[in-house]
Amino acid sequence: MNQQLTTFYIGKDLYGIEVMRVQEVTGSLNTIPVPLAPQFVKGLINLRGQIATSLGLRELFGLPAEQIKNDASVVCKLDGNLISLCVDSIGDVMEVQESQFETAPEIIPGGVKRFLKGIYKIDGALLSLIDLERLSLELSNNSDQKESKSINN
Amino acid sequence: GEMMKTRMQPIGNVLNKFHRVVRDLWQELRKNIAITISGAETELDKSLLEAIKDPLTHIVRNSCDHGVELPQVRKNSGKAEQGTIAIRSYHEGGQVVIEIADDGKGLNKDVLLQKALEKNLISKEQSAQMTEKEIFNLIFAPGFSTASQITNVSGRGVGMDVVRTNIEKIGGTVDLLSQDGRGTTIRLKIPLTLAIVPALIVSCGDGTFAIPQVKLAELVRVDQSSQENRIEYLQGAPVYRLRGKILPLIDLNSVLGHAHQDAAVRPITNIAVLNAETYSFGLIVDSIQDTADIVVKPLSRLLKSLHVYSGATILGDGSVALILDVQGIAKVARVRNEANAPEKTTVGATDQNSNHHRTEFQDFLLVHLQSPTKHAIILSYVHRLEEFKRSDIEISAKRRVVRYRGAILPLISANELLQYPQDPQSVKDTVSVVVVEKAGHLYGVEVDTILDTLSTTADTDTTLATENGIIGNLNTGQELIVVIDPFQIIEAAVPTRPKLTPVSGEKPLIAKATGPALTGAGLTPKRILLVEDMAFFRKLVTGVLEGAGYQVVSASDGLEACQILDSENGAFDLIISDIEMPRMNGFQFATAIRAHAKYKHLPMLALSSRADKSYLQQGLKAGFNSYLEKMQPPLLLNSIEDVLSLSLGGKSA
Repeated sequence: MNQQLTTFYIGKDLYGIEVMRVQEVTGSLNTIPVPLAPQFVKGLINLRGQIATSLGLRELFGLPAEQIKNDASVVCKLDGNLISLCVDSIGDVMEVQESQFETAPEIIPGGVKRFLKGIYKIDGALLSLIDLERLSLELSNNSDQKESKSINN
Repeated sequence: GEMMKTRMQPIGNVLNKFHRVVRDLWQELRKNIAITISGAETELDKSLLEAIKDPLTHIVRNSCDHGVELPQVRKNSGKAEQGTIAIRSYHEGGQVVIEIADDGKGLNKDVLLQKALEKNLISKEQSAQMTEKEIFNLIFAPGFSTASQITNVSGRGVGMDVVRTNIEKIGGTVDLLSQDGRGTTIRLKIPLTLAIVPALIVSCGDGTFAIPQVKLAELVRVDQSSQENRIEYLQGAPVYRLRGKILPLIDLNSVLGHAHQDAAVRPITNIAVLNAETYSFGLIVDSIQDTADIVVKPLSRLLKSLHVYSGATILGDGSVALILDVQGIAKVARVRNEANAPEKTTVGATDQNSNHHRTEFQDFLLVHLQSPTKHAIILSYVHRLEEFKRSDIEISAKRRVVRYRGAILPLISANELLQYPQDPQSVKDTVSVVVVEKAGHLYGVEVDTILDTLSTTADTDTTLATENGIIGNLNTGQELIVVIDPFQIIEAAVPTRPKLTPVSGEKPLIAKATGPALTGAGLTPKRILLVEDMAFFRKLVTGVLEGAGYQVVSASDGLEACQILDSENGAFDLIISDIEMPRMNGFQFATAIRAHAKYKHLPMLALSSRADKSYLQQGLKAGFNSYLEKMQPPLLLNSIEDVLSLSLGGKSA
């Protein structure tokens, strides 16, 4: 079955979320910082009277911070809360096929891999499908990745 | 909810006025309409009630005007000449639901689409792709009116879009169901956790924050150059003499981690004197802005778990302000001034002698059973609250059930299980049911009345927990409350073989202190590291384990557990861990342990109130040897024995 994905870029990598799960795509919004929140929480946004929590996907994935301005946000509803995912830029809405799908290979860094359902091998690019359920689970468990790594040392 | 308990009023205060509204409309519209109202006793915050009054009136008038047909039209289509509008109100899963149903002509999709196209609200392409629900929702679009003539009754530009805007403004939702020719039902959901509260708006650093007025005692402005009216220091901690009493001070800037000037060097300091549950403190802020009635919007769990914010709100200028959790800030700043405590009214019992510095709150749902004492269920156990008509209850193989969301919900009477005599007088037409999820299945625990929620620091005394289904007693300082365990009650009524775990749960309960704790390794008791974020459960499980002769060390999350393991050199026989915890959850913790060179062989048992299949699998994958549902002491002790003997066997082999 074909499926439509809202796509966006973080750095050079292309990511996607099922179109039906995306409430809207917006430009940059005025963000009110939340003191003490984990680094990937950019703050709160007034989205026409509703409050959305803005998350930096770059920070959440543990990717290096770039000088690129996060110009765009993808707004989804997770467990009844509005979540605005900050991304570098928005791509097209793409149609993908089941036959193009593959689970995420081991080579992807764990910080990113755990948020991915898998990869669509489309013409000219690899598209990583975000696992929103996983995102939601991680967020409600308030995971702080830095701290969880410390025991291995 | 600290904000919730204020000013609750029955919704009937608004609904009952509609009898008159509808009667008046009879004349004007020449329609014959009966109105029925049920659930008028459902309570809602006064300010929310005020906010829904106009939208509700509009909906009712709309139903009379556009919904119910003229008597002759009804007769011709084979309906009774008298139309009905039924308003129902009830609690459902932390929300108040208000349904307004008419048996009128319903919405016609083609007519709606036609209108929307005419008014350029949608394009032709869009119209072809719209679902039924989307089409019905067109009536909420700005500038939409389905009546071919705008009437006096519900017209004049105020459309359903205003209704929706107003309901959404208070955090509610509007839903619409309709059947062509059969009628329309509009369903409003008003969240209980949202409220309009008067608040003080302050600024601190770059941010703007709101403090609920109920927590505010007074504002003090301190001039540091004066001799009497100034901030003093006690062992480095700032205090202020408020009418001869020492008031501890907390600088909001330092709580929030802002770089800031010390209060002592500022010429003028603003202090908001706040009442935490058991004591007062002064919160130093940069400036006082204003007072305002704010709409409390919930925060995601992630931000709630910071314990500093209770919500967020949108201010008049459209900017977002965080609402401060006064209790939480006090906790975070770890200020306690015991000397002030006796003066304050306490909701949670204060344990003056205990020296644990972490006061933790546990939320309970309070219910009435056939007993003079209130009963409580741990709120996080509650899946939903439902009310069923007694006539909807069916019998399946001696068990009472209701059909619920496409499945069968077994009903279990808490009174029956706890052997409380049922007074036949008390049987009502509706039954209140606490829906609990146990091992992936839903069960309904029947109670007499659902009363309220309670957030308390009071400890649960388990000494009287001899009866099956009872966890213990809660002494709130004002009254005694019996804490019941819905899982045990369900297990007693619907026994399940514990298929969840590879261990057997059928052995008899091990007698106290003679159990496996002392066997095997001779006379040294086995040491267990218990990882659990909620103090309530920490205490409870520790009690069960120590009762069986184990030695227990506890940690409040995975990270603390790691520190304990390091400091004690991993000298434990077993780790029991909760799953949902702050900082480092159970899955991460287990993964970390299994990856650790020294600790990876330690047996681990997961203990969680979420024990559905996916959690179970994830738990086993992360490295737990076994996964158990919370609060089944016999099963817990048996599993410990099994896991320990397994690991012993493994070592000797």
